Amino acid sequence: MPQVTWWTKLYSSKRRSLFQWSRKPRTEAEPSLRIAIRQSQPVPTRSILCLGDVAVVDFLLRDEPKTATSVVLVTLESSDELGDGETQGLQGVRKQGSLGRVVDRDTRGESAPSLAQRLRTLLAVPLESLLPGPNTVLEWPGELMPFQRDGVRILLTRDRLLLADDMGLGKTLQVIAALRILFVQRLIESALVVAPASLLDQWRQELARWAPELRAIIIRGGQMDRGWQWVAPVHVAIVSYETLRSDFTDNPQSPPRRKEWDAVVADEAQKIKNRNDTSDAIKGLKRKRSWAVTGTPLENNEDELASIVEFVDHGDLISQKQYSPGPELRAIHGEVQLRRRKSEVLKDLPPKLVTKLHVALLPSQAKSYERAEQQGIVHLRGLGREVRVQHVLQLITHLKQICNADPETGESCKFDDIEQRLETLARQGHKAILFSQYTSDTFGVQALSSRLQDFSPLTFTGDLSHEQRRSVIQRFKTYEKHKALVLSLRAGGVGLNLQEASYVIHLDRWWNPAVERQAEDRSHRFMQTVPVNVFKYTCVDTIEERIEELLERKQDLFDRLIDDVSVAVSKSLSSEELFGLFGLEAPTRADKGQSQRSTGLDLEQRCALILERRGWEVERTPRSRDGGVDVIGSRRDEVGIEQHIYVQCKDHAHPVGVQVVRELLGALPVGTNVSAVVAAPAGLTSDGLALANSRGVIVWDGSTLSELEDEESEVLE
Amino acid sequence: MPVPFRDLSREDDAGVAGYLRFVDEPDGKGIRGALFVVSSRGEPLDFSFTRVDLRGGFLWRQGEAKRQAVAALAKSLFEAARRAPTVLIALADEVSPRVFTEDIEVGVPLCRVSTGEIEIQAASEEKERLSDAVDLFWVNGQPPPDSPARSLVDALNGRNILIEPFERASIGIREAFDRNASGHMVDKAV
Repeated sequence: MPQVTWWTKLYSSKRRSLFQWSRKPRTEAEPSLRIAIRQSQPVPTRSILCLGDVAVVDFLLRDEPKTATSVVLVTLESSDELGDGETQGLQGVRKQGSLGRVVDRDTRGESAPSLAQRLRTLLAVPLESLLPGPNTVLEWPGELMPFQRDGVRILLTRDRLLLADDMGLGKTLQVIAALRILFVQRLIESALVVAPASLLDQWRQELARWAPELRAIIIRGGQMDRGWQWVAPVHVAIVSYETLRSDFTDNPQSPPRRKEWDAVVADEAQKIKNRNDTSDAIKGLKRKRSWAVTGTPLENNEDELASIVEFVDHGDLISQKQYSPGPELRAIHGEVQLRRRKSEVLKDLPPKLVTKLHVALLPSQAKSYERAEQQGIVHLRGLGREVRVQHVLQLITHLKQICNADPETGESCKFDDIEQRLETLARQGHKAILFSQYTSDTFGVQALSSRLQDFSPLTFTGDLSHEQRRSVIQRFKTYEKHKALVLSLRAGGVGLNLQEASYVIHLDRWWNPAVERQAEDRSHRFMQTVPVNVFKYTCVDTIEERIEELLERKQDLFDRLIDDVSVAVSKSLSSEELFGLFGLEAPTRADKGQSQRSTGLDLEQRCALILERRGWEVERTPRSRDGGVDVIGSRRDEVGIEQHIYVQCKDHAHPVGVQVVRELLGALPVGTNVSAVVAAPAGLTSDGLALANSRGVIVWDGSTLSELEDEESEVLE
Repeated sequence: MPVPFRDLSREDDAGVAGYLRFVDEPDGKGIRGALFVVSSRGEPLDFSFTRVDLRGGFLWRQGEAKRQAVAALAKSLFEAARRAPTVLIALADEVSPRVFTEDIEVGVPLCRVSTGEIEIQAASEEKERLSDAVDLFWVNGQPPPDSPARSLVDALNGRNILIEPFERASIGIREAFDRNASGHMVDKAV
């Protein structure tokens, strides 16, 4: 045996085999470089070469004295700790007097990657061998299309990306493939996927299918459960926006704040288009990679894009970048966005055929409609200077509901037409998905579902539990008898894959064409093999027809200005246009100002309306026995957790003091998910404001109230 | 002696392959070598690299000097290896079969891979046509069909990564030794 007595061992990183590693993810910190020298027999050391971190020990082979050989072992597997004997061995080498420089890791510059790091990268399995395809190193359940492989490649090389492919192009799949490869290459150790609650199970299923060795957990349930779920040793954590918002508290020890994620994915990233607690929470996560995924990065205005880009273009762990509409935003947007359109990449995707169906109200419907419209206009006129946009929107909503179905007789021209169409479609073996923005059993999802009993319809609404939602989708896909799936637009409009249906029907028109398109693309997406027919209903001679004309005019304008970026036209409807729908004049600013200086009772109405428009069930307390609370709002979030909001209204001429905040705090029930609001158009005194801030009490002053009331699009959504 | 065991849940129990790569130094004065150990999925496990001066002078025929150098490199690399590969794979163009018949006797199946037209160069070698483009030369005969070495080679071939690790090994050698490969200077402080 040769007298090879010195050798160096380079610690690169711990490595476990793919499958062992997948079952027990690494939780320890990245190990530091260690150099261990073992000595079995003293041998003259001739030199040490230094290659960055690597100490190369030259030694003489005794039987070949003229041949000098340097040996370096870069091990990618686990290494022992440097023992005392080994340290002494290293010192022994130094004492030989013929040493070069051994680079101490503590003195290394952090900017230049070490040789070990470079080798680890260079020696990794080539990307082409990892990407889904035939005979590849990783086993994949299917192949990716070329544009999807490109997407994965780009994801792998970008720590900031807004993946904005058209809906239905497999964005989720690309993200999962990229995550899997990053995990396999040991470039990441943890990932957090933030998605709408309705998509959490789908994410887990897709992960199980496309990255079976990755362990994933959905963070949901009670606070105790979520506590351990956040710290569970998994590769991928999946959480809803609502849960993240709830768990991301000001406490720096709150679980989402404590962890530093290697990758954070914001699925359906339009959910963070507004700057609010939810978007603040996801932007506040410590992360190395930020990937936003959405087919509609801009729905209403550039501000929304700015909010999403702020998440993508994350700063360091302390500061957070802020963008506002303008050249800088557009420049960074161009750098971080990857967008492919169906027409470009899916040449074989069957077409989507959109048909607008104009139907006439049935007699009883027409009577109800005319009566409601006349009464509504009289009411609006009667309000005089007190009339506001919200009153108009209330009337529009009521009329739209009558267009769906007459609340008195249940008659519906739309239901009749749908029923007839489904009979034909079912006979031909087709399935249909039907959307409504309402869930009501009089004019919404439940009503339509009742009407379509012959087709064994299934319903999908926000009040279903996750298990129920998954079961509904599974049954619709599996059983032939279920010819119709009736969904609420809000709960089922995004993320679902429903290629089994080739017909999409919109019972009522949504204000935002992008939302409609998203819903249609549940069916018109990758893997769809037949043309998708979309039907949109509009009742003639009704408010629906008038709004449609107005929206189309606005949409045309935006189409010319912003290529293929859908806009929420409702946001761009001015007060004048909304009032104009009923032949009324919008109140002037002076009128608005006057209306805000109204009585306390009016303030309660305003607050109640604000909450109702956002989906809260509102209860107003008796004025004389309000106990410091005037309005109580209750609702369940998308994960089924009940939330309450307690509002104290004080419409005083001067800022209200600390006592008001104390009263409100004293009236709050014990428990979580309770928010407290002081609504005071004149604001709070400094003491009052300080107490409110310290106790997490929200303050709605005059400007906040105006903003809340003026957010038409949010109101409508 | 530790208790021998086999972790059935480990994919690596399909075995690990050791790729031997030898590259001439640009100035022709030495040879660089690497032992690159990968899993059956091509994942890098160990990378050892080393170099040796070529013997010079009129007493040495060039082929002999290279063979001696390769043997010296191989011995050093084997000595440094932390795990026994299931199979050793070398390039037929780089390694003479005599290295493993006359200089070193290895305890694991070893094959030389050729993508060109070469013939058996040692009596103990056995040629296997793996595909139209790839021939294997088993230095001490083919391993049995149900052997771990056979399974491993088939697994690597099935994943189209039987030859690819040689390229990575070459890149690794270049990175480790060449000054310009990464911009990091080799500080030869003798």
